[in-house]
Amino acid sequence: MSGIMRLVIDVQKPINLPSVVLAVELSKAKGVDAVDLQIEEVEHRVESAKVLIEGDNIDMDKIKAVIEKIGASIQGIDRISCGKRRIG
Amino acid sequence: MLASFLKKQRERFEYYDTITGMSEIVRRTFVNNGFDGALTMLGVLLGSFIADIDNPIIVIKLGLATAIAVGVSGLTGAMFAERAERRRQLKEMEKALHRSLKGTTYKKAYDFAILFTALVDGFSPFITSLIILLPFFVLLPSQIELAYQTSALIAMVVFFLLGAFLGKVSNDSMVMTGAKLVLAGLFCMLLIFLLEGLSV
Repeated sequence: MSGIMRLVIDVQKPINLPSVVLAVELSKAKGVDAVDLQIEEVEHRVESAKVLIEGDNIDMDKIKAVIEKIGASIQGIDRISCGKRRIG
Repeated sequence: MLASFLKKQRERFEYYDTITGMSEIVRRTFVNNGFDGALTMLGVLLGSFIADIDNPIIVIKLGLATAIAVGVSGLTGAMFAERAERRRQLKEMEKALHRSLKGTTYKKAYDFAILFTALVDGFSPFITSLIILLPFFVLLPSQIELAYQTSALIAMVVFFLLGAFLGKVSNDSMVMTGAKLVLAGLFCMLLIFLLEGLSV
């Protein structure tokens, strides 16, 4: 495998959008093995989450599509791991 | 097959409800509008009674017109009011997220909430008013007195059930809240009969 194996993204989502739905929907995306979502900041209407996604060949476009379809948005990519083997 | 379809629909409803909080609003408007419809029909029937209308067909026509009017009023009123409120909420969220929510499941949840609330707002007064009118459909024209009495009794039962539902929602005594709505109905009856006394 030489695709994306680990991805850490900052996601902003409506406060009334359940985190569990976002995490479960991401886990269903092709190439995703595991998702870890942690709320980092809570504001009046929105909250920011740090999402760690692991898999064999994560399709970045699919991830973006899932997040946007649900009503959230990617604020930035914090970390990305790809190559022939995992680091750490 | 059907069970899995229903399960999926229920999950979708719960998801939309989590986002919009619509069930709380729907519960409130169901009772509010249902009571409106029932009380309006009681008023129409009492008006027909004190006007000495003894032809059930006339009462049915009056009643059906009233039921349709309260139903359409609930449906359109809620549709416009709910849409305005939900659109404002969506716009505020779009501003906070710095993105358009068009085509998202989040917006779909809001659209569903508008439609569902409007349907409940329209159907609850329509159904409650029709239930009260029911005796005029099933009893013979010669039994018009009995139809008026049965309708008034059914109206009290509807008031009680709506009140009891409120009691269940608020974890209060269902009997007490039911009785309070029955009292409101009786008060309405009293006012209408007083009006009849004044006009004679």
